[in-house]
Amino acid sequence: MKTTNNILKNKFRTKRTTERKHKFNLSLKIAVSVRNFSFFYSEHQAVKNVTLDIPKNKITAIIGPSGCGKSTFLRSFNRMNDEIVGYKYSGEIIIDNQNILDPVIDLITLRSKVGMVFQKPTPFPQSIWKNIAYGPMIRGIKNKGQLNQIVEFSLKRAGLWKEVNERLDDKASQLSGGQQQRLCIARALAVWPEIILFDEPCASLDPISTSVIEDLLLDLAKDYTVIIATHSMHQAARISNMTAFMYLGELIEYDKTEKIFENPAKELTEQYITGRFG
Amino acid sequence: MNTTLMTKDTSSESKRLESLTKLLSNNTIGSTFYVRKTLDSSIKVVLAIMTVSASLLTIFISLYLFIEALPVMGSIKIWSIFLEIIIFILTSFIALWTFFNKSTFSQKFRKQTIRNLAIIVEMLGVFLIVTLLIDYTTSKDILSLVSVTITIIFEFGILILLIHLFNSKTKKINQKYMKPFAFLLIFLVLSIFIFEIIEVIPEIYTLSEIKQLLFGQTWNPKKENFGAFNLFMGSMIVTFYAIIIVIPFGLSIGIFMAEFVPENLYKHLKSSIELISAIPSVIMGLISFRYFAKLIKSIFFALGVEQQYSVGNIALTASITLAFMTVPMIASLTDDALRSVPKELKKSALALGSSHWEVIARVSIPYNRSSISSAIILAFGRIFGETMVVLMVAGSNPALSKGLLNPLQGIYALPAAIALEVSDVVVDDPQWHALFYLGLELLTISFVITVLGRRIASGKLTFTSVKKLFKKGCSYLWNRLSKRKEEEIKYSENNNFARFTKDKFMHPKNKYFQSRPTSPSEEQLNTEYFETLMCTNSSILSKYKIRKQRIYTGIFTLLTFIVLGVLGLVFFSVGIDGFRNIDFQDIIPGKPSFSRMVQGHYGYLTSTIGSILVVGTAALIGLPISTAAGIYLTFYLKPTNKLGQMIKNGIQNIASVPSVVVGLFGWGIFVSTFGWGKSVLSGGFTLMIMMVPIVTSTTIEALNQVPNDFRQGSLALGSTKWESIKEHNLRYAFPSIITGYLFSISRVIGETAPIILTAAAARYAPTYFPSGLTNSAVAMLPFDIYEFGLYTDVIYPNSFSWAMTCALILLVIALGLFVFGQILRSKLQVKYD
Repeated sequence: MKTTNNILKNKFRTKRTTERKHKFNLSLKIAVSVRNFSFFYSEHQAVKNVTLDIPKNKITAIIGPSGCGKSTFLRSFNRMNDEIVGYKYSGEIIIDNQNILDPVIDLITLRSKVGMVFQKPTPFPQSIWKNIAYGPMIRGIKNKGQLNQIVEFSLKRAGLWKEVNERLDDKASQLSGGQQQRLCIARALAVWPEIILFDEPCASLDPISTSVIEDLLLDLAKDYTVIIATHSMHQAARISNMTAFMYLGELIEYDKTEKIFENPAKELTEQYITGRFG
Repeated sequence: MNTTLMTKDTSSESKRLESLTKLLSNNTIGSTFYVRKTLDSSIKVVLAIMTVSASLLTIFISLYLFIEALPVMGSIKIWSIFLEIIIFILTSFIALWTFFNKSTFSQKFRKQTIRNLAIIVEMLGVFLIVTLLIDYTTSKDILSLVSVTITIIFEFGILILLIHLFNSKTKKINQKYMKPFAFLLIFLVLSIFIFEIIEVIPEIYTLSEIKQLLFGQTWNPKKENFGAFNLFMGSMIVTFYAIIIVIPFGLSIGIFMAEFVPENLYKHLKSSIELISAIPSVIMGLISFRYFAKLIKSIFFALGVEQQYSVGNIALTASITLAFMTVPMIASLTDDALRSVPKELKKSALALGSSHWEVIARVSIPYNRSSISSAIILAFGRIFGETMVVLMVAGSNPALSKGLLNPLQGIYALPAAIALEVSDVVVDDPQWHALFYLGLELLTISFVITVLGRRIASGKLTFTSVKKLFKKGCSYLWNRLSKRKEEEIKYSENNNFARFTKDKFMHPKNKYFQSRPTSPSEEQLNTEYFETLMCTNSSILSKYKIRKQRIYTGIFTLLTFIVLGVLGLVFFSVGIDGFRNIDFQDIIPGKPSFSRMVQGHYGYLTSTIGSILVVGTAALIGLPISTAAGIYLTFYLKPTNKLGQMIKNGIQNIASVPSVVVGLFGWGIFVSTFGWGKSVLSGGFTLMIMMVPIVTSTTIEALNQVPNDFRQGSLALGSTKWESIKEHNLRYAFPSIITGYLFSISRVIGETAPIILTAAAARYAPTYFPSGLTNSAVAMLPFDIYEFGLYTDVIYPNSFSWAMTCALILLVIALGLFVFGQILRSKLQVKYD
């Protein structure tokens, strides 16, 4: 195991030295590093040769007009794209010194380490308690006390505990849209992930729920690495530490959020930020 | 918003958090992780095995019928030659087309076509190998063995080609490698071809046997005259007139349900129309035999032609009955189609000032042209294969003495011939093989019709697509014939024939182009166009429109009520006649009553038990297999896997195979070859074959209705594929799957033709149960209805009331399951929002 890790590390190093364009503040710990990643839907290339490093315990936003491949890119971090037929990828995505695009990688372990929250709130048509306890239960935890602890912890962490603690047996579909989305976040937290992916989590919510979830994301970033794909530039500017701008599958620019929004290096980024297209 | 951070809380809280972290960061809790992984992969294998067995079953039917029908279809050699000619032509076509013509058709289109042709060649090759092997076993001819080996090699070659094509990673066909390969294939086929031609010349006379089968007009099994043309025509007459009758009824009920019925009545109307499809065909046959036939006879009597048509058992009676039975199919498909029209489309048509009726006629129906026409074609296939009604009502006279299209005569239909003559046939008699030939013909026709209907429904086959293909072909020919230069061909690569001719036609130098009529001048526009536009007084127009709409609504309502009235009459007569004659003593076990029984027959409790036994066997084997196949085909089969998709379509197409063909298959395999005789097992297995495609397609449908979001959410939480399917899709689709089970059982319990062939007989022994699983015929409800319903009361007193009682029991069971299924689905349906 050690030797393979070393090999991977060496590979990693050589690649990093060859690509001087993407030097970042190395004092940040790196959670995910993407090297020359490309993704194909049968003939169409959705993500084109992307290379970037995502810092640990920070919020990284991926912005871009719809259809630019940001969602596909995000879904690659926990291999949810494997559900789509006719996909093909190349390059490397390295999490925890392992290339997760390796076919040997165990998807179950990967997905419990890299959680995901989708655009549409998708609570299972079951009770609130069962929704949260679902992840731990399938992993073999049967002790009711432990499950209760996990449910309580996750709901508290997602800021939903006060609102629902008296009706844990109610159907999850009775909650409001924003509450449902926080329930989905709590559900992801219950599996104990290290990285959480958010695929436009506020796209189908009203402004107040959006601001609640944004606060929650800021809070979560203290303990987790948060990667969020969003089409709202303002959201990215409000909450993220790093921002990546993608256009037509290519990574145009990736830098600190302040730099992207105040002094972008590329003309295309500036055009998008100022709303001249997209 | 301030969320309380656990880490900053009291020390006990942080301890709890630590223990939780320890618990959850450990990925392998006990052995569960590995158990889950192995469960996931092993279940996939089990499901795949089930699916393969279900699909093999369906392929096996056609192969078996073909083999059994061969002996009466001329010499085997003739057939192998025939197959070879087709294979030869197709292969050379593939080769020539792939490697010498690159300009006219796109790479993708060519690849698809080659793929399809190669699959056809592969299937024909399997048939060829089988026929040659049969030939070898009978004649011990070395030549045929040689050709078998060559054919197998050839098959492998095509298989390699196929694998190469199916492999989606290879973008282009490696031409250097494939070109000599294709020529080798052609050479191989050619060599067998020449071999066989020399062999076959002395046997050319047997071709007349095939001609006799296809076009011979006398069907007389005792004298070994097997001319099936009149049987085919008989079926065609019945089907044709039934379709003519059903189209106005079905369409107008569909339109009525979709557009004119108030929403609160709609549900009731729809479910009562669908009840018609749940009535077993044998009961409809009985009703038609007893009432419709007499009605038609009395009509003719009133018209004063009673001498000529003294019997009501004519093709027209069967047509009317079959039309009534197919009404729900066309009506509900039309209804679904009309309801699928986008509301915006209708609203914008209304905003242009068209009336409600005009929206239907000009927008909704043209929008759904393909699905409505496919509904009619599918109904055609269903009527063509329907056995019991033509068997009981249409007579049994293959002569067709009153003309080939006259519905006012008794006819002898294909399925009726199979069902009637099987009982007194000796194994391997010429008649045995002739019956299998009939089955094959029936299967082929209904299969072709179904595939056609499905392709039309899915939009793959439309008038425009056929026209496009034709134009492409024309442009290709045009290019070749006019010997245009490569550049020109390249220029018109993307252009079709029409555009090419248009270019020539519209050329400025062309005189036709110059003499084209000019557009109307402003004056003309002002005077003529506007006058006509303004003069149509809108109030007169709208009155006319409203009157038209009222007339149509009236007609639709009338037709709907006619159908509902007939439905009511059927229920009423079965209910009254059946209930009046129930002898309750017969229901008490151990106390059989002989008072009302026909010739010592043991009683309808025995028949009910028999029916339940046979259908139970079928369900016990069929339901697990088909559910597994449904799950596999929905979740594990990749859409890129073309072969798998073909199997999926194949299983669904088999659902439309006529029940009598399945019965014939069961009779050949289980009853005769396995030697199980007419018994519970033979009947159970045969009905199982009928059940599998129905349940598979309802399961696929039910699983597809569950949104995929839940499964994805579950996967993102780290569950295995099987866990995500089991916990979500299966659980939420469960009510619909159970409903599918109930519907299939309710349909299969009324099936008569298969059990006449494989399971049922009138039983006179005084026991409730058959003496064994094999070689012991069972008394069954549909069989009793068929058997005793046709006797006249003069020979067997009470036979009709006996049949009616059985019909009542059967109707109660079938409709009960049907209605129970519907209620279950509506009550237990999981609501996602």
